[in-house]
Amino acid sequence: MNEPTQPSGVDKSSITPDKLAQAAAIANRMKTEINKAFIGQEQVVEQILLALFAAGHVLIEGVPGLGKTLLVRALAKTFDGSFARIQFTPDLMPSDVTGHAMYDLKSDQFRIRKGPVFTNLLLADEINRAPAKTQAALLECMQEAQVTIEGQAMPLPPPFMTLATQNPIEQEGTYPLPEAQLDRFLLKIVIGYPTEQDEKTMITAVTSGQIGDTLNVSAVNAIIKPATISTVQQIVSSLLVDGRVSEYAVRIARKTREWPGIAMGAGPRGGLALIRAARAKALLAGRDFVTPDDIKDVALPALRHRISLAPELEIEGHKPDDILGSLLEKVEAPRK
Amino acid sequence: MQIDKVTVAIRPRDSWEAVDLGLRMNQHWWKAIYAPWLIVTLAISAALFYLCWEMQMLWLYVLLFWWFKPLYSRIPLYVLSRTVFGQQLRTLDSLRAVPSLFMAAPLWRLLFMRLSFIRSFDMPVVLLEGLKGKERRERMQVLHRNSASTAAWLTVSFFLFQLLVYFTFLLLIVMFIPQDVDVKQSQILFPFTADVPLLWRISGILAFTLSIVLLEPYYIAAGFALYLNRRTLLEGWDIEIAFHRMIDRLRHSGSIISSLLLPLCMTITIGLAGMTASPAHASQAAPTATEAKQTIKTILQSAEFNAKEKREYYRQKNPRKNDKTNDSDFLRWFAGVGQYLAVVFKAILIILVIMLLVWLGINHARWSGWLRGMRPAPKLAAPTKLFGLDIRPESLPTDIAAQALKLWQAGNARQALSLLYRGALSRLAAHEHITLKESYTEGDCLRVVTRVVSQDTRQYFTRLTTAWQHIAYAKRTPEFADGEALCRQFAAHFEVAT
Repeated sequence: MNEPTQPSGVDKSSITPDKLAQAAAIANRMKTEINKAFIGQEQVVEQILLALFAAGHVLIEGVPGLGKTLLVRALAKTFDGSFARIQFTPDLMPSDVTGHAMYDLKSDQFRIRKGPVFTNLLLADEINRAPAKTQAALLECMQEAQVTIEGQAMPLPPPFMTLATQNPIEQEGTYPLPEAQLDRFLLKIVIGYPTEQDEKTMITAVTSGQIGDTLNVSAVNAIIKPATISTVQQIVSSLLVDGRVSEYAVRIARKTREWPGIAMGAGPRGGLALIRAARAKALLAGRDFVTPDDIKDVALPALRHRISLAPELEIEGHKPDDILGSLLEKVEAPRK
Repeated sequence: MQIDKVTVAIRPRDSWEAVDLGLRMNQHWWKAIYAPWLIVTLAISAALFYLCWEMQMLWLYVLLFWWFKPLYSRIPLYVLSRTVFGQQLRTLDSLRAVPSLFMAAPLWRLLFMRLSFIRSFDMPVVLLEGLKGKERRERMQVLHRNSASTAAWLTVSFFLFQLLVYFTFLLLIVMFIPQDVDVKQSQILFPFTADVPLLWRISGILAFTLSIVLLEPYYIAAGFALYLNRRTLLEGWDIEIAFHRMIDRLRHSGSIISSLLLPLCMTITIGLAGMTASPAHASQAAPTATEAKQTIKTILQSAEFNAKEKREYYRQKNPRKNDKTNDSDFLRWFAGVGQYLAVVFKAILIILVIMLLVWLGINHARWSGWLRGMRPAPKLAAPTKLFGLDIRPESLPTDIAAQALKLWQAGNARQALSLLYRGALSRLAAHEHITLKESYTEGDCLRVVTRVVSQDTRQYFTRLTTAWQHIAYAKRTPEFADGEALCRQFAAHFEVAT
């Protein structure tokens, strides 16, 4: 049980210290590049990268105007990837996301018209504004990494990552994501307002020489190709996780199910998410093994959308982060 | 002052009845009182508001308007003092009197009067009687004797009532604020600070001003009525008025002689009363003690001191006997239970007291230390285990570094590093009093430790933590030399000189 675990089919010897160092350097350079355009949100950038390297999807929560689109564009630019944005509205249909078959009069045949989902980074803006049918179509794509149109399965170009956004206010006329679907997001990232100094720097950097509302990501350099991301993802998935560290992750996930104040705790997918995100975190730290600290660091974004608070705590204005914080204070760190 | 022209029913009243009369007076003459009052106070209020607005200190308005209340309270008092004695005042007349009223008493008196609990009662003495210095003090002493407590309670009641009216106005405004506008409780209670939205601050000031403008004349009138009542009691105004009425009646009945005689009788009666009360003065000779006693006895036996009055009231006959006969079985049973419970509670109380004494006796050392204030603060209990590692000092060898080095050289790298890491935490927990929780990971420990140790120790502990993490979670043994160095340097950072 206490032996380090590795995913099957990955050869440990394939991760040489050089490769690891290279992957860590790439990750950190991407972080630096994105921070050039998306100023004052280092933690958010790091969490986005964790999700990207762990091949997961993220749910971003924040009020409008915090630069979510800018963040995604900057991220896409760092690896020269494609980027698409869908504004979710109540009348958005599943085919508007995935694509559809249309009859071509010239060739007298049905032609597949691919939807915006065929991209590397998909920004699903205000995902809770579209009805469940459309949400389900997107979440299907996220899970399977492929789209089926007219019975034809088409894989999405790797790396594929969805960044869905939600507005914490204005709940009128929305379709909140069901718990089962929230579970499919690896991390839920909360974007807050930047500090005053950061906001000043950001305004100067983003508006200089800009006409109108267009976003300035010219400062961001493309440093790798999309294929490299897949390689890094593979390296991340093969990082060492000691048995005691997995036990720690499981202990945290299980504790959420019995913790007073949590009506519904995280499922086993919560524990998986902890390990996956912690692996990516270890890579950013340049380590080839995961420590309990990595697990603890990613616990909030990995679990905050997987728990439901008891109604009385919600009424009193407690946030999942507060409850998880006190829970982490009580979960014993790994034993010898 | 012409008592015969007084327009209210003058008779000795109970203090609170007098207050009630004051309130009625204000209601009755509201036009004459409120017209000049509103003109002056609203003008002052506007001026003050402008001043404080310019100074960007709206809270100052509240203080100033409240502080100068005795100044403009003189207007209702002036109007009342004239109207009560039959003088018809027009608004213009009252306004003309304002400058002289404002100058009537020195401004510095405001400072004292503002904090007085019997302001409404004292104001007529200061303003209407025009006494000064010692005379006024003596006069006030006499007047206060019977009415000061009522006057003080009147002030308290009006203060509370004013608060009530103020909050009522505010809440009325709150009801019109849309629900999604976030109004904090503290802002509702005191909306005059700079962090409160401007509109809300102005609403607060409006509510404050209105509550004062509306209630102050009532307060002044109540105090004035209390003052009138006190003087009625002291000076027998009611008797004087009765005599005046008799004179009028007789005058109208046409008997010139009697109308002339009556005032004469009044004078003689009062004069004779004075003479009979002091016969010694008449004879101009000092009476002996026996004579004086005799005189006193005679006077005490006179009709004035022996008036008998028959009053009737109801009283229960033989209450004790009735109680017993009326007691139902239930009441007797209930009384029995009560007595039983009393005994039980008494016993419990005695046991508790004994237990407390025993506890105090056992913990004598502790509380005597507290009492002397000499006892050092109890040490924080250092954790005994961390990550399942036993970090109690007694669980560790005396010479950790030597033991670890021995283990390291024998090839037991994991045990050696575990011992070093345990040793370091144990030493830090014991000597630096750092609190290490069960949930702390290596990273958490590092953060806590770096706050309390020196730069060198910090570097050493970081290296040790990294080495420990590698061996614990990656099964990776550090270089032999690195491990040896960690063992050898341990003593320099964590060993205590013995």
